[in-house]
Amino acid sequence: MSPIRFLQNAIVVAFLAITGSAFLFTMTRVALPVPRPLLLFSYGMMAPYQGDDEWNNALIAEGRLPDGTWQSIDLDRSFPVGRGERTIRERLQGVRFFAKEKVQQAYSAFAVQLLTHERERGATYTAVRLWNDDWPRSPGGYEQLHLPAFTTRTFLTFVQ
Amino acid sequence: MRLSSSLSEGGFWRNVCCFCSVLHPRPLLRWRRGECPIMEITPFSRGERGRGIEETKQKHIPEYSEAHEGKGQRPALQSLKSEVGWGHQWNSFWFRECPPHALAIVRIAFGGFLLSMWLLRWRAVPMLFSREGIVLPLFSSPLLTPPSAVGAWMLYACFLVLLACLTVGFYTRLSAGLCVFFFAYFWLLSLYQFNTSFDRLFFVILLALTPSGAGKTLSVDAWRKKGSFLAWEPISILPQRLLAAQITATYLGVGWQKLALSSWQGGEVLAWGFMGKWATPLAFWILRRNVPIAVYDFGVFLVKSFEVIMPFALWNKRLRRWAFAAGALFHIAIALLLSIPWFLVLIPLYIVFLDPEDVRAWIEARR
Repeated sequence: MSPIRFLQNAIVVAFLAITGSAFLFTMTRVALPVPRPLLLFSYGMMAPYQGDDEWNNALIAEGRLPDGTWQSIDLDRSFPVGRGERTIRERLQGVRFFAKEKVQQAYSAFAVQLLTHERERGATYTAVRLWNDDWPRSPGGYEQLHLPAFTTRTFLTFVQ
Repeated sequence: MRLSSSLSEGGFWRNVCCFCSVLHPRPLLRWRRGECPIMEITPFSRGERGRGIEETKQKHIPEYSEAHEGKGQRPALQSLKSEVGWGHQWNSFWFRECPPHALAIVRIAFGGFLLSMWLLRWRAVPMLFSREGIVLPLFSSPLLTPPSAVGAWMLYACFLVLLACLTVGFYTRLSAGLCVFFFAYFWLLSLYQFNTSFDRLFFVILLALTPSGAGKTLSVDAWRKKGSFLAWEPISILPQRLLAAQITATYLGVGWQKLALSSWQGGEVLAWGFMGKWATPLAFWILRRNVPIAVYDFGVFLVKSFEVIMPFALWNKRLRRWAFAAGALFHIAIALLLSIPWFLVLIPLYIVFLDPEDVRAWIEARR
């Protein structure tokens, strides 16, 4: 067997092993001993839209003014993308997928960057805090029930 | 296969097919399709193609030598039979040489699609890929330090130029290889936060296109080397097979897990999806028609049926045409109802399930 044919066979066998393991992982959550990043990468290609829930969510950012009052920070500027992509980015879905234990740390890094950018834009915030809002979905529209009576607000992080 | 056509024109075809009928269970099918299996048993290297059909026939087919030169041995049928086993089928499926037309069409469609989608992100570059936005790279590395906005614009522009080069087939391998590098960079820097299946799929497609020889026809490279966009050289079928296998695996995983996932056992998942973060105004409009849940149940049944059957139908010659049509409908519906247009690229990519010889014949019939 020529070296090139050997390499080609190796590529095919490796591909089939990784893809087969990812399929098994998709169906049973059993992880065979293949390199985990490759397994997760391949699994990621088999995992779109596994489910949905009854809630919408959004990241809420607030900056503390020198007088101690909190002011809402507009995040539209930071996420000039569609609503679906924005929601996923706000929930740090990528971090949750690759390193769940680092989500809290990532939210803090997020808040630090936000505070820095706001100060560069001239804001006088002394601190930033992040919340997550969850509210029920409605046929009336995405933001239809994003009202205090229906919304659960969860604290995420605070930096100064 | 170009060689087999030439042989058939020269009158040698009948001998070869009689020979092959000993070895293959369905010689007539082969014969009609113009694909003599003997060509797969004795694959010709590129150098041999250049030396002329006569010499090649004498070298590879002893019967020919015997008849034309009065010497030589009877074909070693036993040894040939042993080659037409599992190993031969494996090699023929994964590694045989083939025309590059199918992958060239993939290159054009995929490159053009990716270029269009990334052009639409143009205004978001500073916020997504520079330190002016909130960028959290997947891991700490000097290479993944977010650049300035100007730096991000420049890197982004380079990537778009490379995608354009890939699409038109200008220094195809180099541009595809650099596209892999840039895509990996943007993914590790920021895109991983979006965490989508299609971005992973795009990376795999770029990776497969890099060494594939997809620029060996319908490309500026072909025009530069041979003076015609339609000129071609044979390539290995391996990248095409890998892409087909990946698309199959994606449908397989997506579909079969839905049979078990609790959230996919009723129409509710569709109804909730039509008012979720991905929902388009059309989806909200449909939802407000207040149709019974049975309609959504039926929708889920259709989706699951499609995704479960698709991996097999794509490989079945009888069902393939219907699978392509169903796939196109499915992905267009997703784009219209859930604002997820990125999977639309799979529609032209279905071409990897066709025989590359058929694709070439289809193109050449239209010249």
